[in-house]
Amino acid sequence: MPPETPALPGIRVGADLVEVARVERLMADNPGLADQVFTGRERAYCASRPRRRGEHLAARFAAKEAVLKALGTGAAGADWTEIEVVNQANGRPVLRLHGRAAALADRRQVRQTDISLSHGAGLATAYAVLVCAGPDKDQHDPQHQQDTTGRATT
Amino acid sequence: MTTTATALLPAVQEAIADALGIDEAEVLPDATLLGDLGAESIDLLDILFRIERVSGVKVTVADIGDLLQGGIPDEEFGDENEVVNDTGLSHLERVLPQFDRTQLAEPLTADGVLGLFTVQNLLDLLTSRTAASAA
Repeated sequence: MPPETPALPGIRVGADLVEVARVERLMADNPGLADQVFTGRERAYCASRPRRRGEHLAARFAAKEAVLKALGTGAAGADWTEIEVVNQANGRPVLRLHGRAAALADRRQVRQTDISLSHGAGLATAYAVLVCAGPDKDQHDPQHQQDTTGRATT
Repeated sequence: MTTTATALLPAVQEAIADALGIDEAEVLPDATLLGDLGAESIDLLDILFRIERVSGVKVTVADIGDLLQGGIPDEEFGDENEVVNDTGLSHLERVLPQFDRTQLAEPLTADGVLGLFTVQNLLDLLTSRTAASAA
């Protein structure tokens, strides 16, 4: 008998793209918005880069959206401040989940996260990857995926 | 429609139309914000802040989430596949008067719940906030 293939981890991906000018306008028009969306650490990081503050904020907004998508919940699934992007000493952004976002991640058996941010040309984008202990039921290894007739669907 | 709701309706319609760049006539009470009107989360944020500026009534996206889930823990609201279960559906039928589970074409998943939220539901939430702050 061939050795049993170890179960593949579930991988959940989320992506988002926002217009930098829109985030900047929202922030300018609504002084209370920054506190509702960004943590103190995020605001401080972006404020320390005044030339591109709006781009950094927009990228973090996109990151929060990307994580919500990867978790499979709508915008109302967690507070924006419960999803935090923290920059390591080398500048690499990492995710910190708190409150309901952390509870959702636990429920999805998330064991590892990664985030990638980019901005330019007036847009900011983010990709979130969540690696889960168990396989994601919506995701299949294409080498083994079959439809209900037993035919390979690759 | 209550007096408060009638008074708030134009402000709500204008806020939604301006945030989404659509005509106010498209902002019908039974239109869903995300589905019918095409709002994204950043639009929701924009809409709610616009309403607060003109009406003074503050509602956050988290408040909408609290209304939709009613404090029911995630594991009691849906099953392990993130499909909203009987407890969740019963709650949604209580808080969203237009929602009827028998009309669902496919199982409702957690990420689809916000998509049920209509202009009227937002108006109702704002009205209840106004009443609560006046009490």
